This record gives sequence, C-alpha cells and structure tokens, in this order.
Amino acid sequence: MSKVLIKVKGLTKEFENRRKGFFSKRSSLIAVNNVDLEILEGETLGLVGESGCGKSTLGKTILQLEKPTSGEVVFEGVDLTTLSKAELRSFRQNMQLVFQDPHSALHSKKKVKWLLEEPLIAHDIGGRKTRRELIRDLIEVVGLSKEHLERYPSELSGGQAQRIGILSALMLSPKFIVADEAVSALDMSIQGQILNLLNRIKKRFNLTMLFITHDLSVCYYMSDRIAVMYLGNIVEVGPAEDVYKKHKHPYTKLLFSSLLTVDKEILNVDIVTKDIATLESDYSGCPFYERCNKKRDRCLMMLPRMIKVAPDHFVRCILYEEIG
Amino acid sequence: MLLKVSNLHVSIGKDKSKEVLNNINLELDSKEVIGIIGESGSGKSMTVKALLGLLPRQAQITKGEVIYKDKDLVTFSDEEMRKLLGKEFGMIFQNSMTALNPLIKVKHQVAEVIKKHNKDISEKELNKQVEQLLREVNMPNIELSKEKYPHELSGGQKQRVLIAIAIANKPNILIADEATTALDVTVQFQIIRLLKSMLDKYEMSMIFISHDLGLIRHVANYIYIMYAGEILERGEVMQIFTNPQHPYTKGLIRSLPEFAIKGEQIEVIPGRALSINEKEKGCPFYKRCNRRLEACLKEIHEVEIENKHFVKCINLGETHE
Repeated sequence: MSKVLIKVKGLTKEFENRRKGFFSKRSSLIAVNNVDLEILEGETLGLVGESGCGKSTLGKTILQLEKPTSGEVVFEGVDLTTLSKAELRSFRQNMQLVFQDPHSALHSKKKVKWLLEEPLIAHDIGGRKTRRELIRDLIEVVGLSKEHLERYPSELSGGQAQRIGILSALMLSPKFIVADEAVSALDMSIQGQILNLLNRIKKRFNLTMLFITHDLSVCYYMSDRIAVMYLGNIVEVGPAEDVYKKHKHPYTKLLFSSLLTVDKEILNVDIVTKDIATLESDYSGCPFYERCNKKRDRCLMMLPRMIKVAPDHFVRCILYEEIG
Repeated sequence: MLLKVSNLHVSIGKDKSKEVLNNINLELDSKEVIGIIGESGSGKSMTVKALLGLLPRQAQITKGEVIYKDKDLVTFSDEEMRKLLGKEFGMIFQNSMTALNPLIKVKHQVAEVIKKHNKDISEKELNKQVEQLLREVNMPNIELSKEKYPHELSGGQKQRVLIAIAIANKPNILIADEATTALDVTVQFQIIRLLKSMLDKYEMSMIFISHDLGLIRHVANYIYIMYAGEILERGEVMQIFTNPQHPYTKGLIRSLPEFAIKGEQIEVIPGRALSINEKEKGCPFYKRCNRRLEACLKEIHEVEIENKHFVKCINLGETHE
C-alpha cells in the first residue's frame, strides 16, 4: 500500500450568489461539498463528471488557487489551508496545474524560452546559465527541439503548445500535477500523443497526478483510481477497473450508458430527461435525486454517506446501505 | 439519389490558387444518414458550406457539381439558394450560443423560419406551429420556455431550439455540423435520440459532421473520412470500423483511448495534420504514413476494394488482415 500524498478532508467551496435586491437574503451555491479524498503517492486519480459538477473547482481548491470555504488539504503532513501567502508561494513548487487550452494559458507575447524560464526565476532557482541548460535538456523530454525555444506560442500547433504547457508545469520539479481537461481541446490524432507524454513524464519524474476529464474512456485509460463527481459531491470512488466495469451509483450508470463508443451496440437506455441544476447551500439530500430512476423519499432527508461495496470501492447511495 | 456531389473543388486566395477541397464526391439517398469525420481544418465544414452556397467570400467553387432534384446547385443564384435553405435544407450548427440571436425570444426565432417560407400564415396558426415544434423537441414547460431568451436556456435546451428551427419546414435534408460537440455525454445522448426520432418521423436524410468516431458510428449509415481537404476513405459503417483500409483510418481507430490497453502506450499517428498552406501534390497523409512510397507523391485515385467501400491509397498491402 503506497502512502497518502494528499489528504483532503471536508473540503467545501461555496460561491456567493449575487443578491437580487438590497434586502433579499444572501444565498450561496455549493461548488464543492464536503469532499473527503485521498491521493496516493505515485498514482493517477481520475476525476470525472459533467460540466458544472465542480471538478475543476475541486482541483483548484486542492491547489489553493481557490480559497476553500472550509476543510483541510494536507500535503505530506502540511495543512495547506493554514499557510500564509508567502509560505504557500514557496510550497507551490510541489504542485502544478496543466490547463485545457494551451494557447490561452501561455503568454502570447513571450517566447517559449521565457515562458519556461519564468517559473525558475520566480522561485530563484539556479543561475542564468544553469537555467538555460536545464531548459535545453528538458525540451527534448516533451518531444520538441531547441528551435522551438525561439518561437512564440502562436507559432506552435495545438499539440506543441500543450507540450510546452506540460513542460512549464514540470520546470519546478513538482511532486503533484493537476491536469484539468488537458487533452480535450486537441484533435483526435494528437490526443493520444499527449496522453502518452503525460504517462511518460509521470514515470520519469515520479509524479502523482489528479487527472480531471469529462471523457470516460480517457479517464479509464489514464487512471489507477477514479472518482465520479456530481453537483459538488463525490458519488463514487474506487479502482479504475471497478468504476469502469462494475459501477454502482445510479449516476455513474447513467454516465456510462450515455457513452457512445465505437465498440458499443445499444442505443436504448432509459434516461431521465432532466437538466443538471446547481446546488443551493440550504439543500440537503442526495444531489442526484431529481434525475435518479431509483429514487425514494428517504433520499431527500440527508446526503447519503459513502458505503463500501468492495475493497477500496465506495458509493454514496442508500441502495447499497440496505444490502450492506 | 437525393443529393449527389461530384468532383467538387474549392479554392481560396486572391487568385484562387490554394485548393482547400480536392475532388469531393458525396452521395445521399433519401432517408439515409451519412457521416463526415475529420480533424479540425480537414474541410468537413467547408464541404457543407460549399454545397449550401454559404462559402465565405474568399473561397470559390472551381470545379464540380452539386445535383439536388436534377438541378445543379452550383449554378444557383443567392436568391434561389435562399429559397432552399431552411425549407428543403435544415441546418444545425455547433455553437448554439452564437447560432441563436441573444436579443430575440425563442418563440420569435422559431416563428421567423416558418414565416420566411410561408408568408400568408396567420398569427394564430403560427403560434400553434411554434408550440407544436417546441413540444416535438421535448422542450420542458413550453408556455414558459418559449418566452425565454437564449441565455436563459441550458446548453441542451438551446440545442433543442436549434433542432426545432431546423425541422420547422420539414426539410428533406438535415445538416448537423458538430451539433452535439459542446454538450455533456448525457445531454448528447438525449439530443442524438431526438435527432434520430425526427429523422424517422419526417423521413429526412441527414449529413452528420463530427470529429467523434464513436458518435458517428451510432448515427450514420455511411461514412466519409476527410483529411486535409480530401476524402481518403468512404464506406458503410461496418466496413469502416471492422475493415478499415487507409493507413489514416486505421491509425485513427487504433489510437482511440477506448481500445488502448491500460499501462501500455497508445499507438498514435506521429506528427500532425497538414495545414492547407503546406499541402503539396500527392497523398496529403504522406508525411505521417508508415506505408509511404515514392509513388505516393504523384496524384492518387480512389479504388473500390469491396462493394461501396472506396480508398484513396496505392499501398494498402494485405487487405482483410
């Protein structure tokens, strides 16, 4: 059993809604609701869910790029939520983010070599000469060559720009990387190349990765474990194999039956046609209630707890309470 | 044959020197669904724009014909085309945010297309038809939602409104360009199911454009694989997926993450797609191909390798491997 690198405890992030009038009540929207999660050293944890479910917000809150409303993020024994700004700044070397759209994540007026050197300068690492050497060495790791260092991001293709995005996250030799939809904006023949690259660098630099995606096939391929998120809550978490093939939660089942892949036959599942809503802070109960085809009255009373259905496989649904 | 595109060439640039579509041949039967698949910049949207007469000003059809009901649409004036668009051809585009006018209520946007091709319709009848259409695309709470502005609708609902607009005049051909790309999987599933039921009900044909192989596999009967402005392979769904022939098609299917084995590398196509500026004579896939020959740099013609299955490649090697 590998050791826990990051332990997330009761992490909550609320965003305050704009008040409709001066005297109207303040209300807030829950993006991340009381999330408990452990990320093991050296693993890739996949985080799937539909748009608006809070998966990006969870990633950012773990990295402290969003200040959590409550809860703890313990990274190798250090609770990040208690750190001061300066402490956090130097701690950031350990954890980096790879963005979805590389072209908007990279400064368009700076050359690639500047983009890669900048994090090193900010953290005061090495002299000018060693920094340049490091960059020249690493550029080949991501499958590019020295000539790319003199280019501007606009002169790179989508795949090349994403390679730079990944490399700039690697510059400070972090232990932990959050890849937020890192291949979603890429063409299909490029996607595979970047997924291979992520796996390669993960091995080479001993990284731990939180891989956020909406694509179930990609998530299964990349992850050791998968967490499924719905409206701010983790509804199912377990080994990738279990979640992909023996999923239990009605929402996970819905997700997989909606998936249209090349090797799938049927196109006829009972789907509740209901749009995804948002969760107000005063709601208690199962977040999936409205769309669920197995709902009962009891589901509205409180948020179901996580129930163990197999080793390391947990589901937030009362259906399994009765069996277990 | 309902629609037949033959030998279509489109060029851009000042002197029309850059060819962006090279020898496109498409056939669409009534009640058939054809799928066009390709990466960004492969010319799939350009193809439908060309056949609908919606090309941007810089682009021009230099050769070829588009036969619809025994008439060549290439020779049609803008005025003549306008009579067909929205009436015999229904269109659904990718971005529902920009396809709908943000300042106009849903009901007026649906009414507009009906009125456009049916000028004498009474206000009452128009209203009835709008509600009927919104009901057909399963809009929730029609009384309320028809009064809404586009920004008040969810992504799936906006897509439903677009479908309502596209089918308003019961077109013969529906054209869906990445119609579900921006949607979540569960919503995408609903929209696909809706589209299919509309096709059945009104006996429409559809041209379905997507970059998603899995999606196209479930929607289309016949598939065209586009790459850098050319059709490299075409065939029936099962022919393409069980017996792909072109190295590009094979590479695409092999590189799907759903076929990758966990812990092993994905077998990818090396390099990246050509942009039209880099295109040279011969096979556009040459640089990335693992079976390339010197002869690939000459002009390559399509060959039929089994009934209705065509490939543009001179070095297929063993077929039925």
